[in-house]
Amino acid sequence: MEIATEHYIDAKGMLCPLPVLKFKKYIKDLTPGDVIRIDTTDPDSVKDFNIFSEMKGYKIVSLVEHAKSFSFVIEI
Amino acid sequence: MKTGHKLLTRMCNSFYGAATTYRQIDGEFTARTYLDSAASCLMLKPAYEASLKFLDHYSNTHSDTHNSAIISNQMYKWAHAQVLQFVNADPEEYTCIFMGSGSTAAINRVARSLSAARPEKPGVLISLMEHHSNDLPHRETHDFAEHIGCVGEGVDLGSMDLDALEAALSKHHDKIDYVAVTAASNVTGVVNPIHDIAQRAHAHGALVVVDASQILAHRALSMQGIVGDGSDDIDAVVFSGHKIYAPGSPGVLVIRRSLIDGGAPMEFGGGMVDQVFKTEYTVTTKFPDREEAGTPNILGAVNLGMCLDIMTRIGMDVIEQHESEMLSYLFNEMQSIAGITIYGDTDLSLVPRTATISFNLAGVDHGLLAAILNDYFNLALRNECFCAHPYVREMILQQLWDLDPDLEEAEIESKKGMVRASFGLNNSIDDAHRLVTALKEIDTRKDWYVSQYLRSEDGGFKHLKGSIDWNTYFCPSTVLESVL
Repeated sequence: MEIATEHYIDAKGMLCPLPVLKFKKYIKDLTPGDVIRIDTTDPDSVKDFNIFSEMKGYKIVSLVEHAKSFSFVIEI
Repeated sequence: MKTGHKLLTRMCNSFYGAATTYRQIDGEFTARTYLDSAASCLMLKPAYEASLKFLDHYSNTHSDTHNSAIISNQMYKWAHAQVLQFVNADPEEYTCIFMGSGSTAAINRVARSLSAARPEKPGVLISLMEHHSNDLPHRETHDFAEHIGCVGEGVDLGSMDLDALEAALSKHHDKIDYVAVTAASNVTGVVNPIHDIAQRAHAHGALVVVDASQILAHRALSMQGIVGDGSDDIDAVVFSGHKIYAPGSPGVLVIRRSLIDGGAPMEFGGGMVDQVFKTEYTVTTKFPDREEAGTPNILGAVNLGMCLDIMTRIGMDVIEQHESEMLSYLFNEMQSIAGITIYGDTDLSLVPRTATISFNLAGVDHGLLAAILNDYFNLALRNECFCAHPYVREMILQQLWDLDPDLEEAEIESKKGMVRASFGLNNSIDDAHRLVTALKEIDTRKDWYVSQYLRSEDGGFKHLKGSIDWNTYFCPSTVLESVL
């Protein structure tokens, strides 16, 4: 089930490392506790956002896998 | 000095291209230092000269009637025997098959053959370290493929993670056809424990297919294991003749005959049949004839056999020691350069490695660094991902994530890669010294070197003074006229 969020990044069509870098850039102005949804098509992004979130102490609230894309909701 | 060392010293200087000179960007003509053996090797001159003498007797095989055919037939068989001997394979149990222009053909062959011979085993396990040629054919010919990671993480990846291998073998129980693993990485030179891997695979009803392309020129490999009961023997090995100082020689598959003699050959044509009628034909049972349809690459195979013979005369232990000395020197010196990252575990007591080093210099993109090394120092190195994208990505990922997110996408894209120096029999410690000297010089004047280049549209780098006019170095018609 998709979770509505105030913050959204469309990283579809981007390949590693761009989705993570776009995410880093976007969250610069956010505060801990904020929730962001990011959509990607890069198959590596599932592993990447899991590792990156764990590294930074962020929480993956949900991950929805579509036919050719992925929707992450991440709490920073 | 022992004979092996004497012969090694002589061979070091006996390569076509050893005296090649190019004009550096500053106008000076200097000798090129070839550090790209992991991509393809220079031609070992004595082996090729011996092969050229064979040309006096060259003919096609498949006939024992006229003298030249007899000699060519026997020399082609000799080449097969040289390979089996070089990898310590029992001719009663293993067959050597020449095919294509490198290991890619051999890997595609073994993937198709084994998946056809063992349909009850739909899966393969592939190490994360593989060159694409030892990854994609297995994915294409099996229902599922799982990649096995390495010990360690980030820039310090070691060899295949045997615990992860064991877990995957247990998880899939007896559904795994084989484990595909490189004996040494084409990116980092990290050497894998292939006999340990073989033993674990066999315990779960799987085979082991080893890509030996990056190890055979550098250290000994034996199909026979260490345990002595056959449990850790290797089932199949593939390699490229052009990566063992014999450019133009074929790809090689050495495989247990029992694994393929039940199925149909992969290619059909002359030389692999006994009888042919209008309505049917009978395939020969003779190996390797059955698997080598058509006229083979006879001269290439003979040249490969000559190379293997010379390397056996030198001694693989002598060659390994020669290259280990260069590697230790390089690690010590390069690790003293602050901005250098060497990829792969550099603790040689834990992780053995061939003399292949992939690295980056902070502040200089890999493409630019390789261009500077070529233009200013006549050092021939390769850059980017070396057809091993998953492995390279695993090692540079953290560095990519640390990039400034405001950089242009094209600039980010151009940082996805490494520079690789790969040493071989044609190199000496002086070549290692040249590389270190160049890296130290570039590290001290980074900004100046970077300022000498423009970023080209394709993401590469072009020197302000333009690039090489290759035709001035080699013009086919001029060369032909000079010999006619």
